[in-house]
This record gives sequence, structure tokens and C-alpha cells, in this order.
Amino acid sequence: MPGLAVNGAVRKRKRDDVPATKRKAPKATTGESTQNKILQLEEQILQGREHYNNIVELQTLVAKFETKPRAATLAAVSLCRVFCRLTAGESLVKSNSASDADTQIVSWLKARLRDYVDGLTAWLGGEQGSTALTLLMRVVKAEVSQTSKRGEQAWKTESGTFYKVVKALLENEDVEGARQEFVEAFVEEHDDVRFYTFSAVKHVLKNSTDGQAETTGSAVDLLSRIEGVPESEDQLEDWYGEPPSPTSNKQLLSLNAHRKAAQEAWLAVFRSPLTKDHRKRILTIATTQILPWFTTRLELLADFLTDSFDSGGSTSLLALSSIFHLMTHQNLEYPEFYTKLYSLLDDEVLHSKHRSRFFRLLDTFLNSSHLPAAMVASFIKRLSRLSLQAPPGAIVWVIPWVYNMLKQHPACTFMLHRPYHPGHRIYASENELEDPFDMACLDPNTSGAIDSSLWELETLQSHYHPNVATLAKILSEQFTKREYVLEDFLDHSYATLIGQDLGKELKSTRPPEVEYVIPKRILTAEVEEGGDGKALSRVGRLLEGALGAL
Amino acid sequence: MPPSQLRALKSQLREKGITAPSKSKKDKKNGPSTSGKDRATALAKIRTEMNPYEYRHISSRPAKFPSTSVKGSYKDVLLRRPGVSKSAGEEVRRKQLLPEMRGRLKSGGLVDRRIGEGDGGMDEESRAVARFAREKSRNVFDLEGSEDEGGDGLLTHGGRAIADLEEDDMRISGDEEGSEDDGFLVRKRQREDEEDEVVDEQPDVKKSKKEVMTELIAKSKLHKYERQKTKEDDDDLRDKLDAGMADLLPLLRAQAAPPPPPPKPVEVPGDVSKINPERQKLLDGMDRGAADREYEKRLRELARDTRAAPSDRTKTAEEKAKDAAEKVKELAIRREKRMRGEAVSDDEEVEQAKDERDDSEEEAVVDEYGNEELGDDAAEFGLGSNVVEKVQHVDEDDFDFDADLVASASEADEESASSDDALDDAVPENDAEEEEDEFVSGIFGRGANAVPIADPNTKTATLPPTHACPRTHTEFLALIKDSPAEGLPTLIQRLRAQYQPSLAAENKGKMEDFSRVLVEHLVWMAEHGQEMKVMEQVIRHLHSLSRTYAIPIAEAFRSQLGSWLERSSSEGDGMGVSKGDLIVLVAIGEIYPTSDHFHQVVTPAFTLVGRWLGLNAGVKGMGGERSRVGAFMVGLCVKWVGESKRFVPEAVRFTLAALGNGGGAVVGEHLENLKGMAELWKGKSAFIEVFEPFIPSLRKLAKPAKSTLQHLTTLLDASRQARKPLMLHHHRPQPLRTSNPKFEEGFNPDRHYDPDKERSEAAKLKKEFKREKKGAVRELRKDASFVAREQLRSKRVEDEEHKKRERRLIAEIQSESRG
Repeated sequence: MPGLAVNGAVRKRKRDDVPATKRKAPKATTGESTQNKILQLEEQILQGREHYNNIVELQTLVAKFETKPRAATLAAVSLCRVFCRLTAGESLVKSNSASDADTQIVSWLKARLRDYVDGLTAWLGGEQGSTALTLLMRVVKAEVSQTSKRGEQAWKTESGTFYKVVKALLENEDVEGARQEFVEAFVEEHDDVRFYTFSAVKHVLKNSTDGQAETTGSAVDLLSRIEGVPESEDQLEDWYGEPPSPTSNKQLLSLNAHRKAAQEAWLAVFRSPLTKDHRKRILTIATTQILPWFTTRLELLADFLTDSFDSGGSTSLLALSSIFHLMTHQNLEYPEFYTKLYSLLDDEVLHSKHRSRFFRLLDTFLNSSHLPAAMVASFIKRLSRLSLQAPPGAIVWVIPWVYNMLKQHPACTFMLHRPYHPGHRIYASENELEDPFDMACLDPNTSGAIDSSLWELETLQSHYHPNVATLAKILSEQFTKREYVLEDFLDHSYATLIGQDLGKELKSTRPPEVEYVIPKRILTAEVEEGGDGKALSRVGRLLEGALGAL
Repeated sequence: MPPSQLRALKSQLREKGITAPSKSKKDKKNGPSTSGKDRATALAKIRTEMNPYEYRHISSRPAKFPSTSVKGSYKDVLLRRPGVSKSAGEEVRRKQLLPEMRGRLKSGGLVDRRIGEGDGGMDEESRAVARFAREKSRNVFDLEGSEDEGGDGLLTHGGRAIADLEEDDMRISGDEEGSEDDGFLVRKRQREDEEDEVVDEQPDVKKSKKEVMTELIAKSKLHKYERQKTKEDDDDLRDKLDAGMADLLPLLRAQAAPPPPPPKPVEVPGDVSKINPERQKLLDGMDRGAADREYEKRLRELARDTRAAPSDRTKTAEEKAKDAAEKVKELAIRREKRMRGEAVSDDEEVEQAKDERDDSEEEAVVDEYGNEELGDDAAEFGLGSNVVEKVQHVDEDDFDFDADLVASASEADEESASSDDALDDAVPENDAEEEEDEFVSGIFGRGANAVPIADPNTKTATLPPTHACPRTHTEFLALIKDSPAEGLPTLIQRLRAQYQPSLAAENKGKMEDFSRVLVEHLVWMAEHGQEMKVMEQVIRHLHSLSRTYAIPIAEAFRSQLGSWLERSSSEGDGMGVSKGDLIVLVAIGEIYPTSDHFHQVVTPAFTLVGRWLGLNAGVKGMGGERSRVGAFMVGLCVKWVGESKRFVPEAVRFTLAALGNGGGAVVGEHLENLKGMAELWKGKSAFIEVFEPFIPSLRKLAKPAKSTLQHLTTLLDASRQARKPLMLHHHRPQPLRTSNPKFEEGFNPDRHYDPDKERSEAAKLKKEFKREKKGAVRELRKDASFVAREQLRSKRVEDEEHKKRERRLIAEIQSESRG
């Protein structure tokens, strides 16, 4: 993603500039002196090990973040430089030939590094989160850029900085900004970061045995931000650490390995306790961002989706599209899909905020002309029934959809036009007409809708909104149009309808009509003989009540 | 064996009677002898026929399609004679191109400019005729010299004085030389005009820059002057029209015109510019007949002019009542039409809109499925982004009473204030005019019975007698801050009387602003909990003002609605409605006809009500406040659709939710609403589906809902009895579109039967252009080859001469040397 790359570069440069400008234009002499001191300390460290104790001094400065944030930041930056150079200079590596003292120094340095990383991870949620993340990732870069074996180890090991970063990102609640930056600047940019992020997430989730919901939530948040899915092995080419070669670290070059890492991370998420919101979030991105990872092992994802679909409510609604995608593209077997879909048509669906999404899917599911007419009729009838209490935004979709359905399934047109014939069930009873449709019946194949009539839609022809009423009239006109483009009827709401009416300027050539009789009384009622003259009409009474309520 | 050429020739000659054996004298007398001319043509014909190599077929097309062959004799058309045309072409070139070529490098020389000289198309006789005609027309030597021409016996040449001509004459040859280069083709084209050119040719003097500039300046000055002149003329005309305006105005008001001012004394007759332009035109030599015709026309126009009509006679009370009843009836019919969404007004607007629609339909591209490809389907139903509202509305000016508002104030207000039924009465006793009085009368003190609405006990005396018309709400608030709330209607009455638009020109704008202020004040009053009675009066005032200031008031209401929408969208929780919104809804419902299919104010208001109901029905655990406001909204809906019986899904949903929650404190109101809805919609086919869900909650409510439940079950039973399966499609089967096959009689495959006229014209032009181009290229090529040939020939001649001279010289020298 070139756009992101540019962004990252800019941000990086800016961050580099900050200390520089501060150095040039210090605000206070004390600030300047601290700055100089920090720089001096840093230089000394790099001169030789006898000055390694300066690290401790710098770390105390870093720890004083609460009181002196500027100095702390400066110290953190210089410590970052120190550790990077030390790592690059292999001062943090125990060699076999090293003396006892050396080994001690190395382990001491490692402990300092650990302290430093721990300190910085605490910053991630705060204002300096972005700086902290950059510094940490620079340390990571230094670590993973070591010679191949050690570099690979640095990615994986739990004591490695990278793992700690991911862990911090998952376990802290308030690091959303840092998570986003982490994904945008590093995960999306570099294939190896993404690979090891997946495995780190898996490990973190596995290790958090107490099953914290927050950790899972953060994991969902982090993973759902990862949008770029590689489609072929040629796309694996951006590396943060050492570029892998076929001899070393070859799993980084294999698409299947990447997929496996992603799958395992997601499965770890699925296994951990998920709240409803997490589930919804996962389902919203399932088709676009999760399915591509699971192309080889769909059954793993299918379980999760069917579970979600069966749980009912809006979760089912969201699971629909992924399930359908699996059914049509991957040959997934889902028995009773349409019955389940039919059961989703309840009171709430036409009022839900996922309405247009659901409509879009519903149209797709029922678009086949091979569906049994009785079932299609049930859907039509049920939606018509529901639209008797629906907002106009839903009705204006239902009507053209019914039109299209009737056009596609001519057997259903009896619902609009049923001349007398003894064979019709609806004419069976002698005197009183009995509606063969049973709203309570859960099976769309046996609900009897195809023997009923669409009185509901006829009633909607006198809807109070002129546009809806006019639209409803298409059902009693001749069906000359091949089909309506349903996309045009989605996304209408009260606000758009009102906005449309109010948006039109009044024309002076056509002033609004005015009632020709001016009523004598509006709010007050006729004064009775001997009344106190305060009697109110019904409207007045209702208005008084409403005004009192507000 | 075919006969030999000689024999064939002989027989031909004999046939044509050229070498016929000498006729007897008798024959010679009877039959007309063949003249020399006939003889020549006959000979020419024989000559061509005897030479078969002169012909060539035009094309090799077989005569398969008789229609393709052009009418005419075979040899005339299908054959042509390349040899002849070639030699003719050569001849023409020799005559025209050769001299041009020879004179190409030469300057000067003699040019024969006699008429017809060098024109092969003219024979001697026609040349002579043309020259004679020119001579006659030009009168070259005007020896008599008429007075007005000013010349007495001046010598002229080419119709001009010699003196003028002299310089030019010297140059003519030079100019001619320039045009000589035009080339053969151009000249060929120009040949026809040449004669005129001789006459028209003006000596083209090269002007100096200064001259050009002065000329330019003069010209622009002239233009400027002309512009000023026209402007002045326009101004004069306008002044004249304005002067006539005073006469016209009373006519427009259909009243007797005041006597026109005495005509101004006629200007001095000698002044030509003051004469009536028409007359001037006549004097200037307009055709007598045309002038007569114009006179007749004017006369007829005058005769047809409307004369002053007698004013309406005073009507009796019964007649007045009858008129009023008729008017109300007509209005009711119009209302019903609007309710059905039909076009009410019969002016051009409808047709125009229809035309527009037709146009847009034509423009829409239809794809293979018969769907319009580019059009938004939703837009057809007003759901798109830019929609032309199809519903038409009358512009009624029946309510425009301001002109005679004051005059009719003497009418007694017979109606007692107690007739509350006026609302439901189809024929209110009052004419709208009289109603209007109620709002402004009382101030002028005419008519003893003109009772002001405000309670006479209120202290109107505290109000200042005259006020500046408040243009903003703050001004208005400042005005009323000291007076009691009850005095407000009186104040409004006074203001309206004081600023009637008939009293001053600027009053209209003032009242428009005041109307807006009143809407704002209504909202303010509701927010500040003022008395219902006063608000009612303000609404009534607004209603009466709406008749005159419909647009400002409607705009004010619409902006209130807009702010409600904005507020409720931004507001997260809460009720999303304010007290002011409620009173605005009440006012809208009263002032505007809520039964219209579409209304600029009512429709958005109704949608907003629906929106509120829809959004608040789903709120869990509906509180008492919400229930109260909802009861009011549903009550409004029921009232608004009382006439049109429109269906309001949100009202059903809200009432169902409210009753399901137990109804709260206002359960009675909800039940009443439910009853009202059931009454309204009992005729709807989905009545059962709409109202059956209420049954369980009504049962649960038990006692208070008993009567409602009973009522509802009765209606449900009746509806079940009456319901029939839908039969919506008793349409006449749609006939397939038929179109006559297009059959061309005498079809010609060479012709293009393109129905698109423009395209066929273009094709024709293109073809002609191509042909012309080809012809021109061919001509040029032939010219070039001719030129080359001529050059070669002249070179040969030159070489020959050179050689000869050389030989002679050599011979001379040799002889000399020898000698």
C-alpha cells in the first residue's frame, strides 16, 4: 500500500525532527541542561562499557515520565538509540567464548532492555503512544535484523520485544490508537510483521488462561484492522527484518504458512469467550477479511458462522452473508437455510439499522427462479404483513421487490388477482372468507401464503406519504416493466423523505394551498351555559397533555 | 457476311434521304423538303453511328433491374464518347490555358475586354446583342448632361468621369495581371460573372495606414451615434407608454377609468420628427393599398375592443347565499381532486409539466429488458435525488381579498360566535370575505355588529394607538412586553388593519415579515406556556393571513419543521420534540388542507409525525411522557386523515405499543385514538391484519377497554364478512404493438432509403464533394499534362530554331574562313 508507506515515512521523519528542534530552541535553561546531559550520557555509553551505568541513569529519567515528560521522552529516544546500537554490535549476545564477566554484563544489559521495553509499553495508551510504538518497533527492528537464526528467534520468543509489544497491545484496554497505528504502519506494510503478529496473537490468547474478555476484544480489534490479504506468493515481498531466503526462514515465503498463522490466530479468537458485540464485529468483516484466509480450510470457519447464525437476532442477520457466500461459492451444506431466513423476518427487521444490508441479501437469496413458488409467496406475504407497521423507508423497498418477485414467479400473481374458481382454497368456505395464510407458521413451504391475497399492500396504496402511495399503485397496474432496480429503493429514510420535500423551494407561481374555511374553534371547545369558559377541544386536550409532558 | 462499310454507308445515306433519288416535282410540292440544318444533323448522326470505336460503355452493370436504368435512349446514356470529349477538352485548353500559360511571365500586354470575346459559349449574334444591351443601359456618353447629376458634358468612361479615372486607368493592367494568376479552374467558374465584374470592378487603391485609421474612427463614431439614436428612440417610446399607464390601470381593475387628461396641443406641424411614424411612413411612399389594409385592421381591432361593462348588480341575500354555497361546493370538488392527486388547474402548467415528462421519457434509454437504463427507478416515484413533482396545485386567487377588505366591512356579521359547527358544515354561513372582516374590522368602527374577537373587557386602551410594524420577533416581543397576553389578538388586529397592503406600497413587505414573526411568536408562546385561547386566535390570524401571504407563512412553517428535523437528528436521547413543534403541527393541520395528495407543508409535517411515532414506538418501557405526546400525535394523524382516510402505519404501531404497555395515564386517549382509526380504516382490505393484533392487549386491559374491544370485534367481524380476495388486474389485455411493414415500390438497390433525413442529406453532400474533388483532380492532371506537352512542343520548336541558326552560323563561318 503505497499511501500508507508514504504516511509512515512522513510520520517517522516528523518524529525524528521533534528532538532536533527541541535541541535547537530550548525553552528553559534547565531543559537545555537536561538535554545536554542526556546526550552526554548517551555518547558515553557508546564509548565503552565502563559507562553502562548511564543506562540506569537514563532509565530513571524515563521513569519520571509523569513529572518531566519532555526529558523522559528524550531519554527514551536516546536509550532506544543505545539499545539499537548495542544490539547491532552484538553486545547483547552471549558468546560461548565469553568470560564470566562478559556474560554477566550481557544478562545485565538484557535485564535493562527488558525494563526499558516494559516502561515504554506502559506509554502506549498515553499521548506518547505513537512515539513509544515507534521506539519499540525500532528496537524490534534492531533485534530481528540480526543474523538469520537470531533474528527469527527474536520474532518468536516470548522474551522478545516484538511479542511484548503485541501482548501490550492486546492486554491493555486503552491502546486503541496505538493498535491502529501498529496495524497501519507495520502490519499492513510488512509481510513478516503480519505473520509474526498472527502467531503472537495466538500465543497471547492461549496464555491468557483466565479468559479476559478485554484481551479477546483487543484481539478482535487488532485482527479486524488487518485488511490486506495476500493472494499469491509473489505478493510476499515487504520485509521488516532480514529478507528471508529459501535456505533460511522459508516459511515466510509460503502463502500457506501465512494462511495457517492467520487461521490459528482467528481460531484462537473464536475459542475465547466472545461477547455479542465482538461476534457482530467479526461477522461484519467475515466475508471480506476472514474468508480469504480460510480458503483452504473452510470447515473451520463454517462452524463459527453456523453457530452465529443459529443464535438468532441481529447476529444471524450478520452471519447471513458469509453463510450464503460459503453456500454458493464453497458448496457448504446448510440445511433449512430458507426456513431460518424466514424466521428472521420478525417485527424488528424492518426497523433495524441493518435493514438495507438485510434487504440486499434477501434479494440475493430469493433471486433464483428455481425456488418453489409457495416459499416465495410466504416471504412476500410475510413482508407485506410486516410493512403494515413499517416505516416508509422499508415500504418503498418492499413494494418493488414484491413486484420483481411476482414477475419472476408468475404462480404468485394469484395473490394479487384471484378470480372465482372452486379450486382455489380461499373460496372453499361458503360465507365467511378465511385467510389461508398463517403468520405463526414457521415453515415457509406450508404457511399457505400462496392461497392468500396481498390485502396489506393494497391498503398501503393509501399510505399517508404521497410517494409511497404512488409507488404502491404499481401493483394494481399492468406489469409492463421487466423489473425494478432495487438498489435505487434502498437507503431511503424519514430524513431523506423529509429533506426531499423541504429541500424544494416554494414556487411563487404555485403557492401552497390554504384551507378555505377558518374554523371558529381549534383548541378550545364551545362555551357551555354556565361553564367556566376554559373547556378544550380534543386536540386542545391532547396538546395540553403533551405540552405538560415535555 | 455483314455488308461492307461502304455499302452500309450508302444504305444509311439513302435511308436518311440525303442521297435519295431525285423526287418527282409532285413530291417536291407536297412534302416539305429537308432543310440544310436537318441535313447537317442527319449527316452528323450517320458519322457517329458509322464509327463504333468512338463509344464506350459507362458501366458494365447488366440491365437486371429495369428501374436502375435511366430513362432515355441506350446510346445517349449508356455510351459515351471519350474521343470527342477529350478533343473538346483539348480545344478548350488550347483556347484558355494556352494564352494564360504564355502570358504567365509577361507583364503588361493587351487584354481584350470586349463583351463575349474569348467566350466560346457565345456566338457572334449573341455577342452583338449583349454589347448592344450594355450600350443602351449604360448611356456611356451622357452628352446632354442632366441637372441633378451635376455634370454638363463631362467625358466619362465606364460611367465615371475621366478625371476620376485617370490614375486607376494606368493601373488596370497591373491589377489584371494579378488576377491572371487565378488559374484556369477559377476562371472557368468565374466565367459567368465576368460580365458583371467588368462593371463592378472598383479600382482597389492601396490605402495608407492613416487613412485606414481615420476611416475606422469615423465608422465607430457613426455606430455610436446610431446607438444613441436608437436609445433615445426607445426612451421616447417608453415615456409614451408610461404616459398611457394611468389610463390602463383602472381598466385592469375593471373600474371606470378617470377621464383622460386633455390631449396636449399638437406640436408645430412643420417639425417632421414629431409626425406620427406611421403617417411618416405613409408619406414616405408606403404603398397605398397596404395603408388601407392596415387602416381596416385597426378599425376591426377597435370594434372588437372590450367596452366598459356594467358593474355587478347588488345581489339579494338569497342569491349571495347561493353563490357562497356554489363556491364552497366548487372548492370541495377541487379539494377532492387534490386528494386523489389529480391536476386541478387547467392552465398550461400542467401541459408543460406533461411535456417535460414526455421529453424525459423519450430521452430515457431503454435496454433490452425494456427497462430504462439510465433512469433511476426510484426517481419515478419521487424517491430520487432530483424529482419534478408531478402533483399539480392550483394557484387560487379566490382568497385575494385585500382590495375590498375595508369596503365590505359594513356587512353585518350575522353568524353568532357559538356556531362551532362551522368546521363541519359544508356551507358555512359566512363568506370568506366576511370572515376576513372579523380580523381587521372593529378598528375602523364601521358596522355595529362587527364584533372584535378579543374580549371587549381586555384593556385595549393600554396599547399604544399606533405601532411600527414589527419586522423581527425581537421587535415584536419588545412591543408586547407590557401588554397582557389576552390583548395580543387585538394588537394583531390593529397591526393588520394599520398595515393593509392597499394603504401603502411597502405594507406588503411589512406584513410578510409580520406573518413570519407571528409563526415565530406562536412557537414562543407554546414554549412559554401561554394560554390556549390566545394561541388559538394567533393560529386563526395566521390562517387568514395565509390567504394573502401564503408563501412567507409556509416558508416559516417549513423552516420550523426543518429545525425540528435537525434537532431530533442531532439529539441522541430524549423525546426529540419540543413544545413549539407541537403547536406548529396543530397550526399546520388547521391552516392547510391535510387531505391533499401532496402538500408542500403538510407532507413533510406528516412525515415528521410519522418519524416521531416510528422512532418512539420501539423504545422499551414507554414512559408516561412519551405516551402522552404519542397520544397527541396519533390524535393529530387521525384528525388529518379524517377526510382522505389515508393509512398511517406508525400510528398503528405506536398505539399498539402504548396499549401493550398498559397505556399509562392516557389509556383513555389511546383507546379513543384506536376507535378513531378503526372507524377511519374500516373500509380498508387489510383491516383485519391491522387491528387484530390489538385484541390481546385490549383483553388484558379489561375494563376500561371493554367498549373499544366490543366495537373493534364488531368491525372485525364485518370486515371478515365483506372481504374478498384481491382482484386488481382486471386490465384489458395489452395489445402488441403493431407496425406496418415498410414496402418500397420500385425498390432501387442503388438508392439509399435512409429514414434519417439529416444523415441521408449528409451522405449526399459527402458523395457530391467526393465527386467534385475527383473531377477537379482529374481536370488539374489533364491541365498539367497539357502544359507539359505544350512546353515540350515549344522547346522543340526552340531547339529546332537554335539548331537552324547554329547551322547557318557555322555555314557562314565556314564559308568566311574558306573565303
